[in-house]
Amino acid sequence: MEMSARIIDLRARAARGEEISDDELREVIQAIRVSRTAAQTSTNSKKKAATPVTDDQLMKMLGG
Amino acid sequence: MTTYPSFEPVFPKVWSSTLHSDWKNCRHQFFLRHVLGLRPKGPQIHLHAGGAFAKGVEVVRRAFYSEGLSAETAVARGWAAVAKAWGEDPLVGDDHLKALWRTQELLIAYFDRWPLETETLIPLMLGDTLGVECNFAIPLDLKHPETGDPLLYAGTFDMLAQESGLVFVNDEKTASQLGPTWSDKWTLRGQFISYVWGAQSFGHQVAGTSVRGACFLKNDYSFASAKVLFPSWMIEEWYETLISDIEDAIAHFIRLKDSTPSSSFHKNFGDACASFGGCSYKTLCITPDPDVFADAYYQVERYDPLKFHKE
Repeated sequence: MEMSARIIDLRARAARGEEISDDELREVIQAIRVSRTAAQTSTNSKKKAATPVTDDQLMKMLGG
Repeated sequence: MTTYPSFEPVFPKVWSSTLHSDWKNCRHQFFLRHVLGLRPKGPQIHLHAGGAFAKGVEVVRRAFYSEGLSAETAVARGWAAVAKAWGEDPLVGDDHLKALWRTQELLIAYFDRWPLETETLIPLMLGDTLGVECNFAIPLDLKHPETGDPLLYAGTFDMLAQESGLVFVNDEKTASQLGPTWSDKWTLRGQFISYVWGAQSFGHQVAGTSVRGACFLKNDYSFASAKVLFPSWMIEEWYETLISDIEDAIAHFIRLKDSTPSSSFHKNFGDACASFGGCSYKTLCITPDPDVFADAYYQVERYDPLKFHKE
């Protein structure tokens, strides 16, 4: 089972009050952390990509 | 005052910061919510998400501090506890800011922000019991207007904890935004003063409140924390205000039962009607015949602070 499907499955089982082993839960937590870190890295990359300004652009922004 | 012949007015036996705050905000809202016991039908997602998050935090702390489990395992159990507290009904779509999966992620992010291994705010041991999800109920020197029994004041807070040699009542607040003034708004918060008063009444030398904000952003989560010290004179002043306000509420109730026209629990006709996206009882205030709407959109579910659910 793919990890995203596995997370959804465990979430549903937990919501039903089923017992879930610590090993299964830890695996899911680690996967969510990896996913969040990747999402944050992606967001930061996009922000950085938009940041650089050429000298010409800078002069125009300063009214030169 | 508009009337509600289908509903029985009952004066609350147990007070809490929620009742006191509602009384301060709008007497009519207090009347609808706590005297008639009306609740809007349908899920209240903000309260539901906040309650599930609080349950998750409690489970994490018990697992780490009481059972001695690793931080990773404790958080994993908390993640499951959030889902269990939420239940099988998703209530909202996955794209909602406070959907179940996001509330679970908020829990993980919270313990990334304040990792258990390096946490400085440590729950106290109260005898054999960990000081988390603490409840109190204290008799007041006031009688119920109908039964004559002593009125009670009750509260529940997340943790009694120690940091830098001081003891704090700690409470987590979930939010949709924190903002630059977030930490300033707790300075005179009656809810927190009541928690300190409650803990002190049981002999704990509590200095003040530690409050931690956990915020659902659109694409992420953010956090903030604040500490507020409450001097004894302020706690005494709060208590005097509480007693005076309850006496006022009792007088209103007695006049209501006596059918005195001036007995009205008046509407606010001000900011309280529009705060937090609009008062959830506004539907009743904008019609001359609210009894019909009350039956259609509200149900009687009296708020009971002694159930010790999170406020």
